Amino acid sequence: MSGTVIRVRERPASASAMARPRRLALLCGASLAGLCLVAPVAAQTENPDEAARAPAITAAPGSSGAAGMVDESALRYYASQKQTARMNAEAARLKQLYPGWVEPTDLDTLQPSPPEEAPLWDLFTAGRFDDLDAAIAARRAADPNWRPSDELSRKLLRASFRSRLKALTAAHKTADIVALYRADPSALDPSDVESYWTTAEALASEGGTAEALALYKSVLDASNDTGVRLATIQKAMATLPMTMAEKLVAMGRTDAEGGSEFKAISNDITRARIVADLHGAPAQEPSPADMAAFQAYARASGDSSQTGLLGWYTYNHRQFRAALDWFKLAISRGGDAMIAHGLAHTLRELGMLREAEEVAYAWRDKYVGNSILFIDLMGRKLTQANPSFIDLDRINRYAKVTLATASGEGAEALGWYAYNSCQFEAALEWFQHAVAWLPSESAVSGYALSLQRLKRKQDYLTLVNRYDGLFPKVVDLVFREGPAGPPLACAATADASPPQGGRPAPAASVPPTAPARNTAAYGRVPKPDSSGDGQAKPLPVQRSEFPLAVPAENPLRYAPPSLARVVADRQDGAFLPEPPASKTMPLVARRVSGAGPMPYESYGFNLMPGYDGSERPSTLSEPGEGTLWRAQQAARSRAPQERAASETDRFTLPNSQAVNRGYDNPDTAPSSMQRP
Amino acid sequence: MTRTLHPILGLALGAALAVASPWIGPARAQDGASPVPPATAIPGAPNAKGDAMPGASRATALADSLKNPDVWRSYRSRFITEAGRVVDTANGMISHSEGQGYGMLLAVAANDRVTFERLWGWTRANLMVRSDELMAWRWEPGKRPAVADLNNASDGDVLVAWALTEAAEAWDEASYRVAARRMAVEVARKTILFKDRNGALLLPAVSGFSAAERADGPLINLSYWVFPAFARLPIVAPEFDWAALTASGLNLIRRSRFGTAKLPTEWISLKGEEPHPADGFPPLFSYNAIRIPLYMVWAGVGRPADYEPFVALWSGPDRERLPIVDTADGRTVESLSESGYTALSALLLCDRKGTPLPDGFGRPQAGENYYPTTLHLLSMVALQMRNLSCPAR
Repeated sequence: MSGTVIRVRERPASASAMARPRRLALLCGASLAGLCLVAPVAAQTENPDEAARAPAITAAPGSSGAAGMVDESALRYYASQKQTARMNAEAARLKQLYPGWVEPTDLDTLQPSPPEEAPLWDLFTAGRFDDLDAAIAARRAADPNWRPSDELSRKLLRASFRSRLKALTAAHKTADIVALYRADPSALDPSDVESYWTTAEALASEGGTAEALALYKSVLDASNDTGVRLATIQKAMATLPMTMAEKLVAMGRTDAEGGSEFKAISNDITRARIVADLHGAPAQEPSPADMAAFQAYARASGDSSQTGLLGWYTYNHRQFRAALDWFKLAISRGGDAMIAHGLAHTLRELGMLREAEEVAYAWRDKYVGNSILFIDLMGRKLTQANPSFIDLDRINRYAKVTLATASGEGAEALGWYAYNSCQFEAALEWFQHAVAWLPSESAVSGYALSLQRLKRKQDYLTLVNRYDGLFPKVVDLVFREGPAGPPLACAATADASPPQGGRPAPAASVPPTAPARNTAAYGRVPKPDSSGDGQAKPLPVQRSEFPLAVPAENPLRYAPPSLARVVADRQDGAFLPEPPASKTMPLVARRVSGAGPMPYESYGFNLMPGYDGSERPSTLSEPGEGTLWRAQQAARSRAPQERAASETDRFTLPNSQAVNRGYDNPDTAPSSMQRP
Repeated sequence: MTRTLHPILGLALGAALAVASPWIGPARAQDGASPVPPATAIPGAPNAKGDAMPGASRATALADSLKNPDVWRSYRSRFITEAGRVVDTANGMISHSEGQGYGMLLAVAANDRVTFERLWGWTRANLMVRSDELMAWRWEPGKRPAVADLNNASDGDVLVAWALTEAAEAWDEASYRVAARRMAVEVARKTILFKDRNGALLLPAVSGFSAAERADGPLINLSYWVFPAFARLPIVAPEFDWAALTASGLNLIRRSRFGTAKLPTEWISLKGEEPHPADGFPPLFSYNAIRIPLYMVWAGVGRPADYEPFVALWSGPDRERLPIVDTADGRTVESLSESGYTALSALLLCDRKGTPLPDGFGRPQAGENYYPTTLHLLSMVALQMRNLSCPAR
């Protein structure tokens, strides 16, 4: 056995029956699930010498593609010719060659093909189906009562079907394949497994999964060839939803030792189940033994995609210690940025936020998700109410990534960190960026508070008036006496000792050095590069009290450094002049769907009707049942209780101790059975 | 003749906005404790279904597909302000996320980075006020406040996410890629029901259209299925099954053949066994739905039979004006007089029947409004991207 061609018919009965499946598994192991298809290609059967020219037994044209099933052509020829002795000898030969083969029951009924068909059979043998069609038509034109023999009709139908199927397959015309098949399902030659597979694949991709399943099933029903049976399972797993493929897997016969005949590809079946699980598709849960075998295979394979798969699987089942090990192993084997993404998320789940931040940062340019994760992970730390000290280098690199990716989330986080540590000038600039990039209610609030602290009253009033009707928390600021919110810790302790409370995850964060904490309680926040500034102009204020008439458009813009040159390229005059407002800006806000009530409504003030006529305040409903968001919310609230149970219930293998001893104790080593 | 982009919804009286220590901490933790994108990110997992993205292999990039710079310059000077706002000239000079998305797509197609950055700059500064990664859909100048509705419009979000994806690909710009991913992920996890019994459903907005919120819900709008976007969003959000949206959209189009004209209505209810025109909306094939064949041709998806009702409708004697059809009786209730609309039928008939393009296809009329002109330019882009050739007569 060499090369990729698996010569189905030439194997001895037992020895290579073991060898080949192993090879199938290896082929698959090297590639991703779903792509590891084995395509056994049949060798030509040597025709019985005497029959070499006889049309009825000639192997169908292109029979190199007719894989798998027992070739009964010779048998059927002898039967049709009533050559009983030869027929029996051929039957005995086939039985010896294919132990599970059963003699067909219709041999008595076969009729020899009429001698006058010999030229037509020659055309058939030569694969000249169009000429054959023409010859038949000519013959019938001359003799309307003449019909080709059933045998010739059937063979011609199937051969031309296969020839068209091949052409459509080469052209990737799956819809046409489906139409061809549905027009006459009997045209599919039962001995032509390749065509079954091709047709089933087309059906599955066009939504005919039930028909595809039936075709795969009929191959399993009819074929005793191990290679064909294994390949059929592989193909089905690649084309059908796993729940359907499982029905075929369940058809596996039990061998003498009590194992499934499909055990040779059990890793591929396990992989397909894992992949289905990762995609949220129902699938049978791999048995502990199968999972152990797949883990062993993944460990030995050296293929980071396989260990990575186990990383995602364990992550999905909230077995984060195991996930950590699998992802680490995958990274050590050349895993890509997506593997690193899984590693960073796992570290986050384990509370190792500092490490997660480093991984996400290191892989930020290779996959956009890592850049986002980096911003959000550290953003969480920066926005704690009573911020802890953070290294200047760490803040600086965060600021750089924030600017490079024009991240409103990052800018707002830096704004809050600066604000909560009484660095109001820096806070103001970061909030300006945040309001340019992602003007959420909280970012606008931070901007307004910073303006207030810095006593920039006109800008402050313009901002608050701009968001009247939209952001109640922002409007609420003007109804407060003095600076809003509780006193900042930094204002009280700026000259005293640094704040001690509120530092999260002590084990996971880098302990700041004592000298650093003595010199500064908080990490100094750098100001964003002001080169992108200049488009934010102070706006005229017409009255000094709320409400004021202000322009409604948010004028703040900041381009990331990479685009500085681009935005400098002016194209004046090439744009539509902003249509002049027909009247002065209104002083009374209108109702905005989803904005909720404004603070002054409790004093009896009213709003104008909304664009849709709405007069009452409304809030927006959250994403509904069936959204991933909803599932994530539910999982988040469930998670703490589930962690312990799921960690011990699953992946516990026979003879191993309870696997994970404590989600909260990262230093506890899980069982070696589940760790790579 | 104002185009209703969004139905007027009943006031959704949900829970009041969470008011938790707004000043001392980050008020932006809208998702509860963690601002970190949760475990939706499983992009590394191989796909058991192999090539699960019909059309993905032939999905081509948008950049440089609007070949005529004069057409783009004219469009820009008529509908885009210097600040980057796309103005709906027939609709009170308002703006919306859909228009910003179309403008951004056309800017990429015209390879105009400066205008793209202005459009995106205006969009985020003025529409991203929702405290998540989606856009408030409607913005009206001269109003206090300008944002009219905090709800999103899923097609606007899909269009902008797609435009950002194309821009990131065309110009290798990290900030666009980050923004594209954030928005695409948010659309997928907040507005798509991947496991609905009708296949993946794109709800028209986060709020107001679900089975729980409407008696005839869930409600859909088939023109929100932007098929060419679904072939490209896997670039930034590979963990979501965008191909399932393509499949479900085509399936729903097949099943939404109402009345003698066998056309879908703008708003469709999926309550019950089969799709039917939604309650409270005129059962029209109108301004929204005329985009369905545009997106189908643009992405090159669907079976020949899927196009037949549209081909039949637009092969009628009056090629100069597209009809608005009442699906209840199959009659034309109004005709769209602006010539830009006929680019849609020209594109469809070129793709389906090889019908030569009319003379004016390459020259949008100067006096027409935002919507027909935009559809005209989009049709030109689709023709170029699909590499269709139907020489003018």
